[in-house]
Amino acid sequence: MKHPVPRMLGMLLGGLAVALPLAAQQANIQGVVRTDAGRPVAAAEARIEGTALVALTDSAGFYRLRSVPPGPQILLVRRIGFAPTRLPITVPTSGTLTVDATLAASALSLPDIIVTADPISRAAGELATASVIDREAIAAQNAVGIRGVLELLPGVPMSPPGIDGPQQFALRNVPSSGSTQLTNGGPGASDLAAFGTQIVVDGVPMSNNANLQTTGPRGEVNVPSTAGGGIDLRTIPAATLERIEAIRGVPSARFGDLTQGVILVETRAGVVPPTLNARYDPRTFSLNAIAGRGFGTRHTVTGHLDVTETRTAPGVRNDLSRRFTGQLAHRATPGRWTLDSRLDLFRVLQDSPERPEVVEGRASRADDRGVRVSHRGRRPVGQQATFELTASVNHVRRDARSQSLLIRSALPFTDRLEPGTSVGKYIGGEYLAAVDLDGSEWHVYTRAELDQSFDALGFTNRTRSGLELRREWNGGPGYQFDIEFPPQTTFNGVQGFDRPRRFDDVPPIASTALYVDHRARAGLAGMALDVQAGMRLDLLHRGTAWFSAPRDQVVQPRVQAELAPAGWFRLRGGWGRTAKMPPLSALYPAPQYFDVVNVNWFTNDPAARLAVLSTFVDDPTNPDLGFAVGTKSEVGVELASGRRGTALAVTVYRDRTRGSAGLNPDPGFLTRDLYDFSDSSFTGVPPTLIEPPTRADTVPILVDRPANNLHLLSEGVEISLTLPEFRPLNLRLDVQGAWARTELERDGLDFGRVFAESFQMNANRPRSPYWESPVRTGERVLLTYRLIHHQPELGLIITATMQHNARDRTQNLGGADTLAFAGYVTRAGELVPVPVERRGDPEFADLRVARIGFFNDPSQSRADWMLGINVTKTLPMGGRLNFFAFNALDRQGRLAEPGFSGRNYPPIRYGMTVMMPLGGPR
Amino acid sequence: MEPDVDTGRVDSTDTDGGDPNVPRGRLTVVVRVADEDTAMSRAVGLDPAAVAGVRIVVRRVGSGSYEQVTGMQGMADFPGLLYGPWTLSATRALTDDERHALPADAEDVTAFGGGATHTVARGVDTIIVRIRTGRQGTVVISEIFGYIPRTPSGLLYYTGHYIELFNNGFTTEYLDGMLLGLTYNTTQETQSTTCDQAARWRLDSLGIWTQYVYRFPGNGTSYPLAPGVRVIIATDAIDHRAFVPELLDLSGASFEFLGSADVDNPSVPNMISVGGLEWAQALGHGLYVSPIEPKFFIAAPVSLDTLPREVNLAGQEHVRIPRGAILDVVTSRLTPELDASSPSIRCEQIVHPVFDEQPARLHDNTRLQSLARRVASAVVRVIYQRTRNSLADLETAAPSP
Repeated sequence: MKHPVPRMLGMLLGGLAVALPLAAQQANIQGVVRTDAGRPVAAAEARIEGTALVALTDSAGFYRLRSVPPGPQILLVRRIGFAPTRLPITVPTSGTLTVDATLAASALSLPDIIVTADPISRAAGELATASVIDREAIAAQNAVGIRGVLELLPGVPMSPPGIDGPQQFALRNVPSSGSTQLTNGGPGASDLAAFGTQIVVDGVPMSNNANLQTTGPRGEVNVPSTAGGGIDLRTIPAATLERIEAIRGVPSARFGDLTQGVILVETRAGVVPPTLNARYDPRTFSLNAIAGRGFGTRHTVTGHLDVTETRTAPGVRNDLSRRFTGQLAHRATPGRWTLDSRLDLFRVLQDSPERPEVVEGRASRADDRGVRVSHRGRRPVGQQATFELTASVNHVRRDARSQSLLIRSALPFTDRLEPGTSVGKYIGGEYLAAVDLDGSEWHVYTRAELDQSFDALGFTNRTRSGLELRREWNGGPGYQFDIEFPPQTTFNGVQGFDRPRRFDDVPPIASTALYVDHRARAGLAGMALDVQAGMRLDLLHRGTAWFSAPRDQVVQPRVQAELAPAGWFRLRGGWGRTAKMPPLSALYPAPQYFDVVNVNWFTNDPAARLAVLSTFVDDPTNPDLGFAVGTKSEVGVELASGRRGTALAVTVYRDRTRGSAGLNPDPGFLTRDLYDFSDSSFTGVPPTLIEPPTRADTVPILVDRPANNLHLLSEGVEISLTLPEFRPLNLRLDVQGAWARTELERDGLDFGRVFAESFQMNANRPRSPYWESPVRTGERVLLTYRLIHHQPELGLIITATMQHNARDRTQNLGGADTLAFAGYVTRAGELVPVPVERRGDPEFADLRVARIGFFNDPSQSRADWMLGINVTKTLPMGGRLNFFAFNALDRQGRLAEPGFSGRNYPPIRYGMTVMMPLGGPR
Repeated sequence: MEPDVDTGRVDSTDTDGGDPNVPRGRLTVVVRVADEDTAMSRAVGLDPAAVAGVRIVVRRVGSGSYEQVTGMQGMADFPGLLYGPWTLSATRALTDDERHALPADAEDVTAFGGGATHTVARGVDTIIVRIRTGRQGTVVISEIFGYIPRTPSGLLYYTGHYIELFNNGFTTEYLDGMLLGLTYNTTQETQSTTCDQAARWRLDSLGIWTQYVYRFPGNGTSYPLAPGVRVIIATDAIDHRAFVPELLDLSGASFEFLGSADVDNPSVPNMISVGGLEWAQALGHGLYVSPIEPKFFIAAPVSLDTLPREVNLAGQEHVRIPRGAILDVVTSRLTPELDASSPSIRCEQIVHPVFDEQPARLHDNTRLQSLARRVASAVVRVIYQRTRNSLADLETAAPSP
């Protein structure tokens, strides 16, 4: 079947090519692949990374790759039983380049092993800035999970290994100044950036859209969760990773539901010798095993098991996090089909049991269990096209319980669930508040894609077009607690008590996406041009199925271009629009309850007391809530001298996301009835109310209504420098630097603490000021130096990583003086702006009050550094021993000084990993 | 006179003072009368240049307190004081005979008092302390109860507090419209304001700048307070024993504060918030005693609309209660032992000395105790000491209700 749209786009780009005097100028690459003992290796695969160019060696170990695009490339050579080797090369515009490669059972014995993120390579099929981390770098990083591996990216701070808390990751983002008041309890900059960082595991996008596992901004008894942010990365163990491609720049139109970038995760599959990995440090123990074998010529099965446990504070608390993951991968090649099936299981248990001798009553437990079944089928269509179908069902059951002793003084209370007025009670004292969050997430994902390659008009072309369908929902008992013992104390009657909420009442969300992506490459007079352009349409449906009308849609053009005037020199740039759907929690927020006190008669005689409260229930659902829309742009330059040479990459980026889902305080008012009493004795019995109420007043309220009101700006510069090896000492220096700045802005108004503290319940105050929302900023300069000592003959690598926190600064930007107010809200919830020139008038004297809780002084830390050490050594039988020391010098950080906040580095952590093959196919 | 408590065990192993390696100094305190009160001192037969019979108490963290009475030369000698900062309070209560010798317009003078802080850093040192007349005043703050108990589970209960007022004068006063509030709130270095920058509001001799102030209800004559009578203003006028057994039954309080998540005792009138802010609304129970620094004033009725307002460097609007309306001010810091463990940089003075010469160093919210005003005389009726020096005027005592 012909696909007209990609063809048309291809023709369009082809037409563009006609206008340019370009011609396909490409070279051949050939060479011999040998073992480290010098014997030729047959049937080894030689591939230009990120392309479909692949060749197999013959019996003499010879390979030849034809029509290789000019410029810096990565030659990947691999063969079962050997460690893969990746060779940076510079491809000329014509002629033949000879590159011999060596394969060894252990990559540590290879002279050209790369144990850092490759600064100049690309994700497969992508032209945007990316960091590629292959298996050797992953192994040398000694991480427990993928979060630790991603520390190889520029600008990512080092953290001690472990799985002790929920882990999320955001590309190109630094935390901004933090205060739930300034986002009204909505997500912060880091949450938004992590939410907009798409994690794709084995071709299937992960999603946190349906995670409702939070007690909300009023909750005092909280559960560990990444709800509202990115997925919890603890579920992906490092030992199962084959390769990570972190696309920091503008991803192709194939990738959607994102704003920051994409992290492509490829897990290990295929024929793998049985291998056991054990890891120990004083807090974390990990054991995992992997094995894969072929069954005939058409089936391979790979299995992987991982058990990891981290004890948060051994000897002090019994807190632990325990992870179990299992993966079964099956590949079948019936006929022309290649079918990949995967079954992934995980369980992450985080348990903080009660220790009454320390804190009575406090305990929490979060038990997340997931299963994901995915299938990918690929089939050639004709000579130059491939059809791929992906389908996945992902189910996560999140069961969490948290409890804590809370205390409150006496106050009137109602447990009413429906709107109306009723007699309440007085509560107070100490009680055990417990909350259960029991959610059941479902994610269904399907993609059909046609991948076509063809040469036309002097260009090597590749077009990918596809259709994606997503459906996500949650179920289960949800947010449950005994209403008489609410898990919140920092409330008052007007802000309301939360009520339990079942998650299976929350409707599903369905989305559809169409995309086409085209890439064309050509060379001219020693230069190479590579252009990638695409278009994507995301639809968020109004109903719960894909055939319902869209409630929002975003067209997302994306384009990247790369020009290599010389083989060692590349100029790059990209621009694209992205879109991220709002989470289920914002599309279908929980009802908000407001309880106002009509009668508050607390006599000494308990029998004579009377509390009457009216309950109001507001549905804050915003039917207009839609996509967050991002624009990503970047320009970069790369210099690479080729194999074993210097590589320098500098990228300047600016990512702006507008309209992320946040909470908007929507002013309104409640009518509070006030009663007279028909008796006055009040001895032994409560007073009798006279109905109807004799008078009423208004109580202004703020309803937290979800809105596309958060705007995130991330901008910065990334620098990666790899220096050539200093042969006499076998030393190499790898430097990464990143300056990043974040701005988080919220549309809407800030009513300040004065609203609740001085206005809401004070009928004598007719109005209260409001301010424009402040901008929250964060800035960080992080330099990471990796000094790598490698002795191939000993199979030894020593890596010293020094991370220099050159700058850390957050600041709120906004008016803090008493003339900063923008207007006022009346007791009826009416907003009245006050022009700047009139804010000093005497009639507004009552509005010129403190903006309590808002500070615009910068918060910053002094520069400081810490050091990590990794030592990796081959063992007999192909094994490997790794020793690591996080914060090896045990630097504590710095104390706070006037004008500077303190910095605390986690204390030294050391441990070791042993990897041991257990025999099997080689 | 030998030290009456503790001989420095915390600071040194030199428990008997005999270790020559431990640096100690001798402090001589000379007491004189402030210039404006010399005539008053002569009237009662005291030499203003050398006041005898003055009770001097010096105190240093970890070293307990030492007490001496000045001799005829107006001097008291404190040998063997460890090097470091010491606080000094000086009180000279007047006898009935001395009070009878006072002129008619000074019949409410009950004592002379003063105080100072001094760092002992030399072998021999001399400091001059100037004392002033203390007038008994009218309505005074006689007790502050700011105990924050922990439940057996370790939770903190904040709202069992009260402030006691007492009519120290000779005529009935009406509480209606009087103001009870907190003095200027920023008394330690912050990122936005140094102590010197905050001095403009904190140490204004013309009045007390406040943002937390409450007015007594009433129409002018609703709440009379006879001489020698006290009233309790409770955070919550309830029986707190229901929640923490060791706490007090305050259901019989005279007034209570009412917050947004609060119970309302119908038989107890509510205080009315008239300041820029309500104190600690997060708790929703109205005014309670600061865990670290009680600092209250009571003022005669005055219309806030007519008073000067200013915004401090933190953007907070304050109103200045004029000096002439201020009836009494009481301030205290944490005990030196507790304060020493705090990383905050405290400003030296909480209010201008014309309102309160020195804060007491007595506050400890972990103990079931009050900050109580010392009794100056109890011959006919109780008269509280009011030298406008909390360091000298306050002591700790069991709560009175």
